[in-house]
Amino acid sequence: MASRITAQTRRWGRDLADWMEERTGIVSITGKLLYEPMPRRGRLLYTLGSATLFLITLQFLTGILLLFNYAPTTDHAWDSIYYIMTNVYFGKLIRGIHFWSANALIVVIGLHMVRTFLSGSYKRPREMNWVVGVLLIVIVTVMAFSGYALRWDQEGFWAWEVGAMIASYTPLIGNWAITALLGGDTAGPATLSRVFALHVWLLPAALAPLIGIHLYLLRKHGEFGATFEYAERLAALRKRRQMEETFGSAEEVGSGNATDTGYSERARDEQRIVEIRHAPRERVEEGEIVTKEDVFDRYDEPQGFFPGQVVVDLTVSAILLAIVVVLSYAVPAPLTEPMDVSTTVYVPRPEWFFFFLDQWLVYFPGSVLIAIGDVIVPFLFVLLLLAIPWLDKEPAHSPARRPFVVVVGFLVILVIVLNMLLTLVRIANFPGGTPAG
Amino acid sequence: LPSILEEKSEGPLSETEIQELERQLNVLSNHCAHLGCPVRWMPEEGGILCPCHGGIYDINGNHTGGPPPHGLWRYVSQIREDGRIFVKHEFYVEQKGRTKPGIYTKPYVV
Repeated sequence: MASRITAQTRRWGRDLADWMEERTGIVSITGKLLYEPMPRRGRLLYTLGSATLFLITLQFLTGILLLFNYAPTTDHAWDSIYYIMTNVYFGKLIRGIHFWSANALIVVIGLHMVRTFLSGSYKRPREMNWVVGVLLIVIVTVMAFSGYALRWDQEGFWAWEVGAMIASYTPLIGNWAITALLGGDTAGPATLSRVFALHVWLLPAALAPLIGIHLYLLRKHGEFGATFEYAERLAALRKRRQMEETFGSAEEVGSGNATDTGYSERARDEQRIVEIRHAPRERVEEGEIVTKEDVFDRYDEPQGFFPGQVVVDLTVSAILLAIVVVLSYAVPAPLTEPMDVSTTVYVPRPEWFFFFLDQWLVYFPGSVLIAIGDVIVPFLFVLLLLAIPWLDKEPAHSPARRPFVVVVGFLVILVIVLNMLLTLVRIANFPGGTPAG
Repeated sequence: LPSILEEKSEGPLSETEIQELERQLNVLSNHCAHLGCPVRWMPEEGGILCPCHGGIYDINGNHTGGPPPHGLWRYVSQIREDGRIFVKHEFYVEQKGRTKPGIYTKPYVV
């Protein structure tokens, strides 16, 4: 009896899968997504990307939940957050996860970028994925900046004011920029509406499709470095040579298949997945050269995305979730005093991820230098990041083989860390917030 | 503080008294001319300090050190007969540089 039920259920399941496959192709798509070949070696490092995606997903989910109680008006913004923290069921948890996973996101997305930089993963053909990644990190930074202005407390408001003032030094469009950011020539109700529109609509709407493109490009090019592509190319070359030897020239063989796309293509993909999953784990021989580039020093054993990589990704995500949940109760998300624009005692201090920029601002006095140091240099830095794939055209991927680029990258990181430390010292001497008494 | 204020505790101000007071009065924005942080009076140093990036101004709001490009913004103000200070929703900066939109509160009466 039991076996009959099992068999029946299985058949229904298969029928349903077939029905859906015929109409949507969902089964083969899922198969393709799950059994994507991945290098076994990069396992843990590749979790940085999935952790970024996980934390952004958390941001979207908790952000939506916060919207159920948050009021984006100067009268009620602070009160509504106070209400979330004290009265709303799990309000502290929801806001805590939003706050702490945002902090974690900045760390993880930074590490993800450093990893991508060190492993040279922006090289051909992945240039556009690097570009999209830089845009994503810029958007995430602006999201973080606008996020705490929404609290409409002293910390958030003054940070936004400093940001708006920095924008006002932009050459040519400075006055326009500050008016746009403030929603007028003064900070007021329209300012909060602008911040709200940016944080809740504009930036997420830009973020989501870019994440989609990022993932699409990731899957398009695969997780493997150049080696795997060359290994595949090598296999294709061998096969063609074999076919040529057997049947004649490639053109003659290929002509028959030219119109035959669709099903055969899918079947070939499935065949490839099976081949990869069951391929004997043997390394390509050392010194076997396909092109002039020596690519076999990075040969990786493949594994399926599922379950190998999925398990590691989920483990890291689960650990991160546990950390942000614990932190949201252990160290509740901060809310300083309500915004008071006429204060003469409050000392604004930026969030930690803006420390280096804050220190940077000290070095440039006078309107000309302020424009150069605070607006043009950061802008050029983003342009430099975008241009990295075209500046570093060295075919090698290993950091050891590209010392110049790696040293430059290391110096940039050193400058950022040293400036962060300098800001820490400055803050230790003159702490932020409202002095007691 | 001007001596008039110490002598006088009530009654309308005369024309000359108003002129005398306006001459001695600065109505400055509390927003640093650098990046808009709130500035404060430091009695020991005898200057106005911005804690964000170390902008320093003298008692009249003139720039004396640090990164700000010019002195503090001044509000257009009037002293009325009843001794109240009327601050207009308008400000200026006493320097060659062009004026920038500042961030300040609604007009208020002190």
